[in-house]
Amino acid sequence: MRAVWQIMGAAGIFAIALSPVPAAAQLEEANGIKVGDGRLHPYLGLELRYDTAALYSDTNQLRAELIAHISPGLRFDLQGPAVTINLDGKVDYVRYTGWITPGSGSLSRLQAEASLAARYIKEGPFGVELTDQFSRLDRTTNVSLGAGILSLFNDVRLAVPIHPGGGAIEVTPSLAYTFERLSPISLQTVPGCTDPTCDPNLISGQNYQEVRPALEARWKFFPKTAFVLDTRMHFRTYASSANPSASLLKGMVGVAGLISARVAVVAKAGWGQDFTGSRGKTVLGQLELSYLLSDTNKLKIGYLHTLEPVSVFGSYADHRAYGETRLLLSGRLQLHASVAADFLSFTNSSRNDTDFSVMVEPEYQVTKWMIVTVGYRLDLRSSNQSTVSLNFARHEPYLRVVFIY
Amino acid sequence: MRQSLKDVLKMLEEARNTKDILKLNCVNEKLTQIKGLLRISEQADVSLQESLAKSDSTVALQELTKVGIASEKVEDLTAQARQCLGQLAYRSDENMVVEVDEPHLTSNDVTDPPPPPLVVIRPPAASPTQ
Repeated sequence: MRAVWQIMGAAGIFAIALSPVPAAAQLEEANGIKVGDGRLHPYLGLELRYDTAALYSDTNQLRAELIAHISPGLRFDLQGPAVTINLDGKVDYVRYTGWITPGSGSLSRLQAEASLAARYIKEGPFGVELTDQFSRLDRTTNVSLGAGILSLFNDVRLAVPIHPGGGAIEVTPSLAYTFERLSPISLQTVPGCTDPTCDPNLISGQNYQEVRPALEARWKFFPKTAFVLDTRMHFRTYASSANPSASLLKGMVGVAGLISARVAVVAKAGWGQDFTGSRGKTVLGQLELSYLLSDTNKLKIGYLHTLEPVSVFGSYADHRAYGETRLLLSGRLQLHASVAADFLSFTNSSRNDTDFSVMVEPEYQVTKWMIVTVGYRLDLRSSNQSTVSLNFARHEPYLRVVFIY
Repeated sequence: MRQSLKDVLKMLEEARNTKDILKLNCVNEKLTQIKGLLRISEQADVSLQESLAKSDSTVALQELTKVGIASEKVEDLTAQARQCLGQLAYRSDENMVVEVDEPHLTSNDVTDPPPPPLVVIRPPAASPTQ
C-alpha cells in the first residue's frame, strides 16, 4: 500500500516539475515544446479505479480491487500546409493495490498504447494517409474470449485518397495489416470453462494476423451530404488451424451528412459474407442520427448490424444499439456519456452473448495543464453459455488527473 | 468587403498556426462564402457602372441592391468567423481566449463520420494465487 502512494507521490512531483507553474501568467502562451514545425506535449496521467470484477477468487467469486494507473506519455502534433502528423504514446503501469483482495498484487503489469496518424494532403488530386494503432492491454475485440488476457495488438493502414476536380468525389483505396498476440493473465482454468474460448492453455492458438484491403468512395451531391460506398475484405488466419480462417467481404452503400441545419444522418445498407471458414453471411446496416447543438455539442443515437471475424467460430454478427453525447458546458467542463447494447450471435453455434455498457465521464479542465476526470463505467456481459467469465457485471468508478504540458 | 476578406484570411492563418483543425474548418467555411459574395459584388459593380453609363436606372438600382445585400452578408459572416472556436476552446474572460487541443480529435466532416467502434471485452482473470 505504502509503495503505491510512494510511486504516485513521486509521479505527482514529477508532474508538478513538468508543469509550467505558476500557470496563470502563462495561460496565453501555447503549451508544448517546439520541435521543428510541431509541438511535443509530455503528459502524466494518474488514475485510481475501483473495479468490482478485478479477478475470480479460488471459490469462483468475483473479487473487487482498487487499481492504480500511472501513465506517462508523449504527444506530438504537427500541422503544416501539406503534412499533418499526430503521434501519441504512453506506458501505463497498472498496480493492483491489494487493499481489498489481498494477493491481487501479482496481477500488476505494464500496459502501453500508441497511435500515429500522418497525412500528406496537398492541393492536388492525391493524398497519402498512414495510420498505426499499437496497444498492450487487458482488452480485445476478439469477443469470443472468456478468459483474462493480455493483448499485444498492432494495426497499420495506408490509404491514398483520390479527389479529382473540385473534390466532390473522393475515392480512397487502402490496405491494412493487423496482428494480435494473446497471452493469458492467469494459467488457472476459468470456473465452468468447457471450451477453447476460456481455456488459458488454448489462448495462444487464437493469435491472428489479418490483411484488409478496402475501397471507400464519397460523392458530395450537396456541400455537406454525400453518397457513400464502403467495401472491405478481411483475410484473417490464426496460429492454430482449429480456428477457422476468414475471407470476409463487407460492402455497404448509403448516404451520410446533413439533412437539415442541425441533423446529420448516416444511413447505409449492404451485405457481408465469409467465403471460407464459417461461411457466415448476413445483411449489414447502419442508421445513425446526430443532433448538432453547436460546433462543440452533439447528441448521437444509432443502430448497427455487422459481421466480423472472430476466433473459434470464424465470424459473429452483432446487432448494436448505441447513443453518445459530448457536451462542452460552461467552457471548461466536458461531459462525455455513452451507452451501447450489443447482441452477439456466433456463426454455426448456438452461443449468443449480450454486452451492455454505460459510461459517464465529466472532464474538468482546471488549468490548461491539468484535467480532472471523475467517471463511472458499467459493463454487463451475459451469455447463454454457463461459463462464469461470460456472465458478470463490472462497475468501475474512477478518478483521473492528467497533467499535460 | 475586401477589408473583411483580409480580416478573415488573417483569422484563417491564425487557426492554421495554432493547429486548431475545427477552427480552421469553421473559418474556411465562412471565407469560402465571403469570396463568393465578393465575386457577385464585383460583377454587380461592373453592371452598375455600365447601366449608369447607359442611364438605365432600373438595372442600376437592381445591381446596387445586390451589392448592399452582399455587403450585409459579408459583415454577418465576418462576425460568425470571429466566433469560430476549437473543440475544447474556452473563454476565460472577455479579453482572453485559451485554446486546448482535444486529445483525440475526430473528423469534423459530417459526410465522413468515424465508424462505430467494435465491441471490446475485458474478461476477468482467474486468480493467479489459486
